[in-house]
Amino acid sequence: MNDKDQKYEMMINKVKEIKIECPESLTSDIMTSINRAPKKEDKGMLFNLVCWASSVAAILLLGLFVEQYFYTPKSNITQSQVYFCSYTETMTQKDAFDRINNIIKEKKELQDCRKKFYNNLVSNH
Amino acid sequence: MMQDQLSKHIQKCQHGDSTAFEYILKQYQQMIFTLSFRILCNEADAKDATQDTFIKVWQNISTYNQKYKFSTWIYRIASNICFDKLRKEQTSFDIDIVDNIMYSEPNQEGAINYKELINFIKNIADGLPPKQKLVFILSELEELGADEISIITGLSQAKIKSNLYLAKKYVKSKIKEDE
Repeated sequence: MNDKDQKYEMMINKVKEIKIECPESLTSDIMTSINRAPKKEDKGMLFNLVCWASSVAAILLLGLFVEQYFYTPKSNITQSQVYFCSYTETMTQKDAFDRINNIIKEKKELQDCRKKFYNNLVSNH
Repeated sequence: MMQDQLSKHIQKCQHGDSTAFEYILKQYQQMIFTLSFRILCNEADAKDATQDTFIKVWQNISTYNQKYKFSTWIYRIASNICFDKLRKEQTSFDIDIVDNIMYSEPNQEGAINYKELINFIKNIADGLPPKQKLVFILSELEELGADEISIITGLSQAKIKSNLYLAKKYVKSKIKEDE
């Protein structure tokens, strides 16, 4: 340790030894200020309360969504089936085509009958 | 035992007990006033800083984390307040303050010591940037370890080392100049 360091150490020790006295009125002044100063705790508690309330609401909404999405029974009718639905019954696409074919067939037969009837009528006259 | 008692008082404070806070105040006000005085070099400013520190402690005691030492936490608050004051004012020393302190000090020897302390700190205050001054006082006068200074100032250990090295170098050169 050189001379410069020694002097530095001596000075630091001397300064450290100096006892700084706290003013007597400080305690009472601080206590007075504290009794006047509002605690921040209330603000924090209100914030916590709002956080809790919103998280509970979020969980409830999530539960409701899950319940709606996964547990509500779905209708078996697909979009293509709906197209062929009547008010009272449900049918598949194939049934619907069969029924249409039958109707067309019946109409054709009726047309043929009419044609025959007209032909007979004309030939008789 | 002492630590247990302190923890109990802190818990009571967290529930708004101002009597428990008075106990904490009496335990730590000397420490905080000394630190503030050493940093600000002025009795009135040190008193204001101590008052501000304890008001902040009272307002934020519910956020105090028990894993840190209470003294470190309180040092941190006080250092921040003093550091802000230093930055705002870059405190200029007034000879009237020395006279006031000398007058208020009943012991003549004590008054001379105060003057010596203020002169010493004034020499540092004139040249050191606030950050270096804070690190220097915490390390050399308050005798805190690098870990604690790191928590108090929020600086990394490497930065603390470099700030301390520069501050010491400056103070040593000032001591030589004074001779």
